[in-house]
Amino acid sequence: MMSGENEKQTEDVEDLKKKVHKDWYEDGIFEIGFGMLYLIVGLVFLSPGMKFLHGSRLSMVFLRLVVVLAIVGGAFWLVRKLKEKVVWNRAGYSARRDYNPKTVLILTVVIFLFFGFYVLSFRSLSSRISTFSLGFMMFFVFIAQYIQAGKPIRFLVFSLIPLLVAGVNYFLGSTLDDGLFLMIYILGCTFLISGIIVYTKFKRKSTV
Amino acid sequence: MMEDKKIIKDIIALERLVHEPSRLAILTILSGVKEADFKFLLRLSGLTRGNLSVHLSKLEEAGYVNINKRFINKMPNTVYNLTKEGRKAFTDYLKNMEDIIKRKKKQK
Repeated sequence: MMSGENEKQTEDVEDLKKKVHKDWYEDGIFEIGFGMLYLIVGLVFLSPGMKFLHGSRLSMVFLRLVVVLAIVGGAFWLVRKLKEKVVWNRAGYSARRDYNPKTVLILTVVIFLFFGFYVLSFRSLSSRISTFSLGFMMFFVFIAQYIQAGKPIRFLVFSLIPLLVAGVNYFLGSTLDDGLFLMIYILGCTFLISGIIVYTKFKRKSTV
Repeated sequence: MMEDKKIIKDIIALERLVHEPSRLAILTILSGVKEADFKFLLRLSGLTRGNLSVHLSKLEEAGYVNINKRFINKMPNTVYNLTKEGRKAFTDYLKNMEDIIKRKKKQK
């Protein structure tokens, strides 16, 4: 009897832990912040209309990495500022345990150096195969995000987008740059739309 | 029979301060964040203001929770976080509890 109660209490603790973890994503601000990030990166650095900005391959990759790093840092800052303005007065303030600027910076540098190296090495491959591989890689990144966010269905949809775009790109035979632009642009729009919908629901649900 | 007695003894030995459901909920929430304010704890724990306040005071007295007062957007805000001792007490409690459950299941 007593052990049954204890078991229930342990289950409740696990449920509450998941609820706390999931709560960070339930106001849509994370998606709005990162949707904006994707759109800025996509439009400024990958858009076919911005080709006149392109220099040598190496300097371009370096420039992209530096700017993307600055924007990712900016996105975390933006998410925090947006939460401060529109979430904390409604749902209360909480700081994530893993929201440590040093960790974020190190993680961002590692991820984008890896991406940079990956994209650079792709240049020697056929653009169809490289876009498809990149789609797969992004799929796994989003699946990790889906698990980390407490498995909300919308994050599963986000993870399917790179695969779908890569598939379309494969059949159309577009270049890596075009495929990447399309992928980032569609992701940005989806993130932003989803974030706005989630935020609207959150706003209706919680009062100041 | 002997094992049953030992399990009951272990249950009694669980730290009562942490074992109380409301305080366990507060510690669980705080263990998942770096820090949180009263409103956040109120929303996630489902406790009433009075209850939450009383339990937070007990946890602070025990040295498990740290309280910081500051301003956000020019508004006073009280922020709570787990101390090292609080985190240890919480993880030890969960470990002991899981151990008891495992032993009980094995016995069945």
